[in-house]
Amino acid sequence: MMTTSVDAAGATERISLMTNILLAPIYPPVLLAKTAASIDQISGGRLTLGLAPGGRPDDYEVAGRDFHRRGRDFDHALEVMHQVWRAEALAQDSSPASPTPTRDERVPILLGGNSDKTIERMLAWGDGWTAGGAPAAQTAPYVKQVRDAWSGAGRSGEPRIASLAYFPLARMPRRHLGSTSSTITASSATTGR
Amino acid sequence: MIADGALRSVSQVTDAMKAFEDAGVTELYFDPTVANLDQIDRLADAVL
Repeated sequence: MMTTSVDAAGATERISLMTNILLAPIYPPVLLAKTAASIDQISGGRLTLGLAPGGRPDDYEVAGRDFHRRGRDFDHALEVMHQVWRAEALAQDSSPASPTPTRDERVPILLGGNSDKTIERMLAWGDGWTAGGAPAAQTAPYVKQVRDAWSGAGRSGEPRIASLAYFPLARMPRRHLGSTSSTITASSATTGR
Repeated sequence: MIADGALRSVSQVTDAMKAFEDAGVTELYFDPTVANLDQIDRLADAVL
């Protein structure tokens, strides 16, 4: 996912980039922080990290990580990543990691998940919450919880709230191609996942 | 769940945008689900 972001950063100039969602606990946190800071630099500050612990044991099994420790590992990773971004030395006599992010000694983070811990982490480390691919009707009640928690904790401004929509669209007549294009159809676009 | 919820027409895309906005979502990220850059133009034609 991070490598795809690098490619998108190089191929574009204006669109924002977001990992939605990246299972942070399966990555070594120092490397994740450095990689994110690099993409943030390469893209001119367009990266947002969407991070979550996830809920599938096999994601952890294949990565050689402990599924049952993922919450603790996630909290630890968030702590370490921010230390890296603040260019703090992580071991005695070690040099600070580089590069550092483009803004505010951090890369913006949206937290994913539906637990009370998700809201705690968002208040501690995040700029908001991501619903992932849930439908709008399922998203609305949790949005209210997120907003209430945000204002209740005295966070300024509004939380960012992201959702993911899947859109395989069949080819449509293109306005600038004229009438001939209306004869072209594509069946590949109807292949869902 | 992804296949069931996928937006397959322009009206489904625009209806979903409205529904997410009404739900309080501030950023909607579109995933074409097929590895075809044409999808970006199709989405642009649908929503811009």
